[in-house]
Amino acid sequence: MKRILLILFLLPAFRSGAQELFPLSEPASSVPKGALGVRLFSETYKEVNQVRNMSALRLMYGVTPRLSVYLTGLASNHHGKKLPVEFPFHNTPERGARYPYKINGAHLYAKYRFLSLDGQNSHFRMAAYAEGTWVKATHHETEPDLMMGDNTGFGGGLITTYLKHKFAVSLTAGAIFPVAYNGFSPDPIESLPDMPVRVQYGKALTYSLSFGYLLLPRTYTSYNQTNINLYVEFHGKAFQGARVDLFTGLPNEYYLEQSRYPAALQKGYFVDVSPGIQAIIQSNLRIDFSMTFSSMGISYARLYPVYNIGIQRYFFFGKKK
Amino acid sequence: MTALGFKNFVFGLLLLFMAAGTAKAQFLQADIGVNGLTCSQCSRSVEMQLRKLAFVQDVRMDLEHTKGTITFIKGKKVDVAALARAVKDAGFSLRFLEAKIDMQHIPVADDGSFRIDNSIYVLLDDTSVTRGVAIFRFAGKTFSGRQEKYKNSALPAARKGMAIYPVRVIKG
Repeated sequence: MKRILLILFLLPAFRSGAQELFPLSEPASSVPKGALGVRLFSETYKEVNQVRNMSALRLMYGVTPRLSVYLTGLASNHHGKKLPVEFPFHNTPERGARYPYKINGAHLYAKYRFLSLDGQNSHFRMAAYAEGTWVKATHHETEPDLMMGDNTGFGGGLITTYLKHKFAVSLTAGAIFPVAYNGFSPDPIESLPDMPVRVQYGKALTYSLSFGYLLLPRTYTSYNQTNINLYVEFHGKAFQGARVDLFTGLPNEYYLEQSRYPAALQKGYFVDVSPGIQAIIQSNLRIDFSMTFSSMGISYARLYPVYNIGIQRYFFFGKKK
Repeated sequence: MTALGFKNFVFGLLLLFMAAGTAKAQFLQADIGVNGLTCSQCSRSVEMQLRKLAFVQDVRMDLEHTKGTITFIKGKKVDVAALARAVKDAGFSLRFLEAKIDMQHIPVADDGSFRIDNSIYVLLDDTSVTRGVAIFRFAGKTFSGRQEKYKNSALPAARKGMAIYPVRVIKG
């Protein structure tokens, strides 16, 4: 099935053609100077008897032709106020637990395009990015995630994008440095106070390889033509195991050998594949839909398939200079 | 002053006023080629950045050939460097810029250079300009993406504080 999907998406791509407005990855290109982009995006998946949803509202601004800054507000029903009972030994991750929909925090991202080799119908661009997330949310797995705000932390990396005619390919390599989370896990004996817990999530290497293909229009005649782009993206992450300290700050503080943690807290890696389709209406309103499947290893922080939706547009302030 | 001398003086003055009156309508149109464009959203970004300029009347982009045509508001001073900057601000670069200029009332110096507003346009190659509508292609990295060495004696002689644009005559 996966192979068929791959062939389906790559075949037309190799015929020549392209777009780089990937539903999930960032291209090396930047936001036009002075333009404001607004993007609403979400990840949704089914978990036991409910639907988990992580949603984000992003404001993007072109500070200079090369420097873009994004500020994203993050909300979800994916994170509770406390870690599960008997964390990290049992019930991790806590599948099917009900959490209220709440605002978790914010994500700040800056991207600087330092290389542009432009041709008539092609470009090769490289950019460096730095990001930081601050959230007030529990996260049960060692795998860090800054974009959707699973945990607080910092990150950075490099993006290389090549685009020729209707075909685009982009490679991103980066790292995530999560900050330790200090919170509480209820004591199994209800009369006892909550147990203070400190979780240091694993550092991670992240990488992605994205392909894009401009399906329609075959020939440009006006801005009013709706563009249809096809994508297939591979996202990989390799992360360290977590370290969990129990009874932090108390005389009986201790931590457990990582080998005794459940799988979701142990080191691991995965490569996901996300085929996607996108419509760009009136050369501005962009609507993306993609689905994420596992291809190698799995993420414990999500259940497959994950449905990704994004809606985006730019606002150009038309004031004459 | 004789009657004839006075007549000549008045006539000369009139000519001067006429010349001054038309001085700002010299840029008729500019054609640009933009590199790095591959999608209509990118093309639209370029158009929106160009439209922000006070002297730009209209922009028509040709998405298929990644080109555009810019027309100017009559009486407004055209800043060619600002056009290049606008394309750069959108995240792209110029492949070429060709300006259609009405040379009717523009005095051309012996070395082929001429002035419009506060800018000096220096001709590369040994060409000459006729009085009429001429098309110039702007040279240099900003306008063509290619760095080149100019061999023109007028370049260093150009006055300080003025923008200098090396150009080539395409037509006229």
